[in-house]
Amino acid sequence: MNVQMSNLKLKFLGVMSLLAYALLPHMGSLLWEQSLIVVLALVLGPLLQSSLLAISSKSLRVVQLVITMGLLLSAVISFFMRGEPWFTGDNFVASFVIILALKWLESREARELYFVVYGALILTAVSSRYLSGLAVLAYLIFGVLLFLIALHGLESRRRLSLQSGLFALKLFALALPLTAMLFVTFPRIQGPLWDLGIVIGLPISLVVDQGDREKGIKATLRAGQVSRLKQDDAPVLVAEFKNTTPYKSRLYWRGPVFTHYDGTEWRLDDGWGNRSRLLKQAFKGSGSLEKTLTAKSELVSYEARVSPNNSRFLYALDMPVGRSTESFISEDFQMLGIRKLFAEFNYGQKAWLEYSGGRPLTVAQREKYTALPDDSNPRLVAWGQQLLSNFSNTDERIQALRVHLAEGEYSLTQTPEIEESANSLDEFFFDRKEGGIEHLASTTAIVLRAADIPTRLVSGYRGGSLIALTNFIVVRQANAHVWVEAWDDKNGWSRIEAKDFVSPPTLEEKQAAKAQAKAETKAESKSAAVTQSAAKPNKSSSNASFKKKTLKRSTGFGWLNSLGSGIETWIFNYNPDRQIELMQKSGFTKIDWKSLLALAALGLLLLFVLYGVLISVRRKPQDPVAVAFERLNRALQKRDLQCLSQECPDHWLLRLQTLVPQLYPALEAVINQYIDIRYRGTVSAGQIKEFNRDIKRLSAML
Amino acid sequence: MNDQLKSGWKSVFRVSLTVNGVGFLCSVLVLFLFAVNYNSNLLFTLSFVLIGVMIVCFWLNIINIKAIKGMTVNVQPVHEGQYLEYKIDVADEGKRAHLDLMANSKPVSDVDSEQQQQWALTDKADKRGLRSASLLRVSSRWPLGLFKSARNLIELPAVVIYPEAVAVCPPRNSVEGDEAHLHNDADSLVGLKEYQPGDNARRIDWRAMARLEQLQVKLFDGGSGDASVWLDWDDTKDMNYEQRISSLCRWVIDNHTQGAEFGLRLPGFGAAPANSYSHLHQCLYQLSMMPHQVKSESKV
Repeated sequence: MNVQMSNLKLKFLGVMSLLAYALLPHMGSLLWEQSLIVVLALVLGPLLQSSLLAISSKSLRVVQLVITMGLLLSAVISFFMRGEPWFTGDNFVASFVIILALKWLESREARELYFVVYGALILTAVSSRYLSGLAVLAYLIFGVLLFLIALHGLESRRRLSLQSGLFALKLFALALPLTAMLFVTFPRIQGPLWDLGIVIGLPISLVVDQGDREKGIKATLRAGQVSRLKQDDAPVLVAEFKNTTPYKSRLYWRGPVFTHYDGTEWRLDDGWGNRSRLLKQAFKGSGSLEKTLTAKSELVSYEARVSPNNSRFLYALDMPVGRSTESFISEDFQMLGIRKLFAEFNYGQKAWLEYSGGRPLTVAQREKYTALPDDSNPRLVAWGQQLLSNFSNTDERIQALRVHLAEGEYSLTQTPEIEESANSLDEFFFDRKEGGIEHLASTTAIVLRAADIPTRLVSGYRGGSLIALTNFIVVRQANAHVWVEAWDDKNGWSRIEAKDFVSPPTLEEKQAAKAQAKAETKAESKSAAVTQSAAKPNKSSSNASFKKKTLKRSTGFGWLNSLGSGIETWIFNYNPDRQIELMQKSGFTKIDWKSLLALAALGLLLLFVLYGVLISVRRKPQDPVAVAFERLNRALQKRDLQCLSQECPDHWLLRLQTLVPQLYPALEAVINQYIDIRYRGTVSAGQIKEFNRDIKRLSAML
Repeated sequence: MNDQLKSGWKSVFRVSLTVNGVGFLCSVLVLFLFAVNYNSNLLFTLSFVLIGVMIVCFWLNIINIKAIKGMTVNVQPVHEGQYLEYKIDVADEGKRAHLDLMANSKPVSDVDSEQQQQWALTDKADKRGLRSASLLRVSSRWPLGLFKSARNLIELPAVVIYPEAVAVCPPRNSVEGDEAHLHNDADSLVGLKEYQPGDNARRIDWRAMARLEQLQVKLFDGGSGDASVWLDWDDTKDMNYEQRISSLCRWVIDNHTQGAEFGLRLPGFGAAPANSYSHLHQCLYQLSMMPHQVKSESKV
């Protein structure tokens, strides 16, 4: 009975260790009273479970329940007193932590602990968000081992011991090959889960709260507006591309186009909401728009679902050229709805990702697009006028601005500290050199206007979340962006993306730049200059990376760095792109989530069978004496002195005496040992060990 | 092995997911959803490790009961209300230990690698009569309780469960006819004779046995033995049906213990007076096999 009791205590102890391990990282994020409840539950648990209190079992149960209910009530009160919304992520995790701790406190039998064990496993996974780098890896590995020990302890009739730990380690090691196979092949469908629903074809509508519909950029644009939008995760549209999906950085979803700037605010043309006026100036038919284009490349085709936004903006991909029902393309190349969008709207469209063109500007339009606000940003205007006097050519002026931005150590931030004023762009361009995307785009526009280049500010979204291994792109408010279009008399409107000259480009952007460079070489378009300029920050970035690598090598812990970088590359950063790359290198041509899933299933099946075979087949334990004897025999076989089949060791020894008298004493010693071990009753482990050692030495000599 | 057993024997192996296994799978699913939602490679890895562990456990669980061999089964008859004890010799055939085993849903000891082991499996004998042969089903949830595999190991033989031996009143011990067998109750010893089944055990000459290495029974002269006793079903008319059987069972055992020769008369059965183990077993067997009656007809 005592043994059983102590075994039960050990089971509780195993589960408590796991629970404490899972709870530990959360303690910092809990309120102090919640932490106290958790600690009390963990401490009181063993006291009540070990029956240290000198009261009857029934009374103990009552005490246990009273304490549990008391702590639960305290937890509820603490949530109530907090005064925050109940359904938040932090509250959910805190509730889960408390429930697990209280369940542990309330448990009396081993079978009640399963919930705690599985809960602790999930909590361990959640806890990993508090850690980073290799610490997460170590934390999760140790957590899994503790989980296996606790679960094995609950199931096994044997006492928890060091053997349980070794067994858990063995299970973990056996699972690793299968883990590696699944890790490499299982399709990396990236979340959030809402996106996953789209991938698997669930009829998920783009639900946007009524209040959120007004969030997007509408008639005016002020500094900080886009930065605020970037913090929002509400969906704007979902697009499915036909054939290949372009690089995200090349996707510009066009929204309102701003013309007028008063020093602090951009606004749309007067009468921008007038449908009759918009329709009158719109491009009639796809042919009329295409005729105005002077350059175009990379045609893509897609279907989009736009969430309701209480306006006409359909946020089509720049530059839209197709026709779609219930919509039209405005003079500013915006795709607009005939009616305002109060419900989800679907359309199919085509777009040239690279373009230039447009209807020739009238005098009035030229004036409008070069207008500068009075008494605003004088230094910036002067800098632009300087460009005008230095460079006669439009391209040269634009290029000079790009070079300045690339070399000027400008940076972008989500939380600009520049106060709104008539000279805020001066402050950004000359003093702080750090600001929001609106500051950068507005600055570019004003400089170009001052340099007598007609310019307008385009708002919308850039990029989106590519749902891995599919052709879906989800665009959210977080992708909000503004850019500039400049007019050239020869080529028309073309996009000026100042952001790419300020922020170091991401890996994807570099690839996009490469692809663009290729396309441009073929097309021999004028934007080759852009690529050349873009190469500048790329070069500096790659230099920095080279320096970093060299520095790492020089520390003398090359293998450690290699291991760290290997883990980082192949575990932490093993993303869909890397998965596709790896599969392509392995010879797979068609790679999508379905083929990867099939590959993973096939691998799983094969390994499942292989595991069954390997676990079932158990090598017979070898006789160490026979192994050692065979070793000696092999060594002697080189001299044709081996023991013949059916030859008695005594006879063999006699034969050796005449054949190799010089080796005889040594051979006699070991062969006699063999005869002793084999034929003369019981032998000790020490004797066998000595025999093995002698054989090894003699074999080495031979 | 009867036909029923043969058909049962076919269902050798069955592996099923336990409730614990379902919990494990649910946890893996939750972790997987976390991994997808947060794009966390480490959580993906964690889910995959757990799937790997599950597959390893599946095979370990099967192999844990696959290579056990049932060698022999031994069981002794008991009385109703007592516990049958099956002694089962089992051995490992696959050079590995077999842990956390259950035989007919009762925990039994582990079977070590390449060693023979004996399990003592008790089962309450709750009803007199012949308990038919059955199959011993061995199962295990080892190592993590995610799967439960079960298979038939060996046939448990049929066994007689004697009636409960409780006498409501003393036996009437009616004497009839000749003194069939004298019991050699006399004063002086006249010699020894070789022991025959049915001889009075109290007359065994143990010294002679040590000398001659065979059982010898003492013979006395001149005396006449006890008369044979008849235990009759009709002598228990005042009791209810099961009490009559229990009382007769008690009297049979008592007479046998006392070395008295006794006969038994039951409806449709009669055994001539004797005192031997085979006679005892025959009488107890007949009593056990008396038909069971429904409660309303318990008083005959």
